[in-house]
Amino acid sequence: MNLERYEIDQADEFTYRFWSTGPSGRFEMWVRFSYMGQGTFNLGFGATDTESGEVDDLIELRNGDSQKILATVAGTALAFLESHPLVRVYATGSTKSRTRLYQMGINRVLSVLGDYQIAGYVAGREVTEDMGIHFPGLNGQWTPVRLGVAYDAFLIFKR
Amino acid sequence: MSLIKAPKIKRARGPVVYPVNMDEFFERKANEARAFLEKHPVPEHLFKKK
Repeated sequence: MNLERYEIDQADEFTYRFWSTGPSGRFEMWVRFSYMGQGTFNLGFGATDTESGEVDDLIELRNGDSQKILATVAGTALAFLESHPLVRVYATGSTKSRTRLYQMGINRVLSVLGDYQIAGYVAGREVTEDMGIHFPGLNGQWTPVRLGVAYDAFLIFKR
Repeated sequence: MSLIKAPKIKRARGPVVYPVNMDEFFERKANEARAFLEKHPVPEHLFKKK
């Protein structure tokens, strides 16, 4: 499967950088894996705000490349797991819509992820407040990710 | 075997200038995630090798 990604630089052992390029301009994007204990790293992701110089995960770039950005961020996770094969990577979106975007990206590649396993967490919620099909039996549980379920957080690791 | 390959990644050339709030920002994100996982721990059986 060939997903379009940006070229990625490794800034240090835990930090990766790439550039989003599109009609709104060129934006510096950062991914950092922060250790949380128990062999688990948090995947943090954000863009540099060109005015403040600060990294922020709520900036809306409107560069028309969200799929390419998502594939690039996912690529950093795979690269990190290749160099740290015993760890687990936790990820969630900074907003519900971004978590939904993660979900869509995972759904797209789930069937070809052979070497990797993804677990998802479904928070308890009302059936009407949802981002996808709701399975009340999964509320408050971590389970292997399957198609059609709306998850709130993900954990990826090598099999 | 996975059909999705990890990308080839090069070391950044030259000095890297990080955003001014880089460490603080990502540490805050990690703390939020850590709190979430403490509240909703992942069952160990999910990690058992098949």
